[in-house]
Amino acid sequence: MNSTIHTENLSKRFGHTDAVDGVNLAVPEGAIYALVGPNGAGKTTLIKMLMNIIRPTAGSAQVLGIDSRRLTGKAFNRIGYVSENQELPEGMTVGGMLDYFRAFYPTWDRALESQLVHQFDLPLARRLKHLSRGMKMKAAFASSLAYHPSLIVLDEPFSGLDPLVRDELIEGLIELAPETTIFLSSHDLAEIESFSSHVGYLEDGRLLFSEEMSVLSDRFREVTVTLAIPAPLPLELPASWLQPQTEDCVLRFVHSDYNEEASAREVAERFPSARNIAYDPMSLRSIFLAIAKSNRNHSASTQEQGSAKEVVA
Amino acid sequence: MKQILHIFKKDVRLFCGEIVIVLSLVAACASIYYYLLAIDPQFRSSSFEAGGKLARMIPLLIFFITFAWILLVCRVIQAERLAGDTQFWITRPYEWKKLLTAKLLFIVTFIYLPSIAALFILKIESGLLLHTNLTRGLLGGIGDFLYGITSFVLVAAALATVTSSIARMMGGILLAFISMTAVMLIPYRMRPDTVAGPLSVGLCFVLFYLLCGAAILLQYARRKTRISIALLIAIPVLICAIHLFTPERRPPDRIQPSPSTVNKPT
Repeated sequence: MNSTIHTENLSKRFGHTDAVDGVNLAVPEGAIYALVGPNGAGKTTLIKMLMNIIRPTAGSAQVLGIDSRRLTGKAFNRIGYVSENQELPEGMTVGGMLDYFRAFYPTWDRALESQLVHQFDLPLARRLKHLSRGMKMKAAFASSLAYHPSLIVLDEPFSGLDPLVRDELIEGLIELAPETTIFLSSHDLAEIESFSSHVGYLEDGRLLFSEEMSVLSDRFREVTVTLAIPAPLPLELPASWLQPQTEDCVLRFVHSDYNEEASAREVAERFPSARNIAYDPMSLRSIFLAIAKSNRNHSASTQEQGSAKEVVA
Repeated sequence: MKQILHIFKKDVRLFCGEIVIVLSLVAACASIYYYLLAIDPQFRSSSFEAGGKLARMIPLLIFFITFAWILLVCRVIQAERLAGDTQFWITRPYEWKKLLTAKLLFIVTFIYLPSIAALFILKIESGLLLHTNLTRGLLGGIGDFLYGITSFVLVAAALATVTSSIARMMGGILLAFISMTAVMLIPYRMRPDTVAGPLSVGLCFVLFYLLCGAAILLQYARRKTRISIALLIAIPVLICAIHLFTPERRPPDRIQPSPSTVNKPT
């Protein structure tokens, strides 16, 4: 399958900080790709590089087959971009803005525009500067969907919006852009879980993984082992077992490389006295929390080891 | 061309209030001059005295016109702001050359053309063109006017491209004023026996036009705000250096006597 977005070692450095560090990413055509990660992970910087708003320090990106550094002018006929921080022509009315943008796009669909205006309940005569944040986002969505873009890039589009507006925007996005590739960044794991086909996790500028949502859901399980007698946490556990913790006779961990047969055998071998072993599917939110926490624990323990070595030295 | 006119029409709609103010000020100033010409077609200083209060309004009107022009240039350029990375237009199918042309068209239409038209009418009314060669008289006047107006329109446009708001641009204008005053004072203080000759003055003007133009072009083509600001900062520094390192000696009769010489009893 062709990639709508493809990056190779894409990096951005601000002073001594690596905002984005060697990201290799492939977004298949027609995918709804959700880029998630904590605050300051580099999501906005990555998106700004893809949109040629800022230039990468190293590496390259192809967007719709065009080098991102050459993404200007007519190339944006096929791209819709909406960001939480984006400014709109505040002095214009909603109708004036749509009229103005219409002339820029040869593929502008007036019927779709009317449908979007109706669906989002946009007040055409009101100036953008007098609209609420939610309404502004709706106006931005309408002006970015009405020309059937091949790619829609959304940077934290639902942040700070009330659930009703969020649902309306998601509905509009899925219904009205079925043939479009959507690339969005978000903190809102619960929302993106319902409609994303692919997911990538960015932390400290590094892409920790990027895969299909179904594969990710299949790969992660919350494992609960009920032992016959209380036992301490074993010292050596596989690296794919995240956040192990024990309480009396119950041991819990997150299996990040779950395979029905192999995992069952592996757990049974390690805990022969187990009375019961349960494998529960996890929500996207639980998966990301587990990854984020285990990464933090890992980096903290690495730092502690480093400090200990320094003290010994 | 379609995109140029589309952006131009949008700017006219968006800034119609500002346009009306600018045109009214120019029309008011031209009307007063017209009235003064009616009093005295030769346009001597006595005609200003005869003009009374109206004539005294001219400097005030010129100040307001200049201020309104600066604001209009700033508003129209910052409608598609170049400094920053959150503007709506940078991810839309704008072509920078067309955007720049649309802004130039706006400035020419609402700053240059009305003023040149007013100047032209006043010249005809004063009979100036009747006494001289028509082409030479017309082009001479318009040439001088363009030369004067372009200098500050260029500064205003360059500052508008590197700033994100009118307040910041006004700060930039204040800094430009301070630096140009310093440029005039520093060489004189350091080398009081020299004077800027035609070569260094010419060189300074070329440098000024080139660097302002380069900053504007760079902003529209690449949005490299830091480099553009550096180019603008380089203007007073280089002008100062030119005055210091290519001075022409002041003729002996024009050397100002120092205060100690003047006060010394003979």
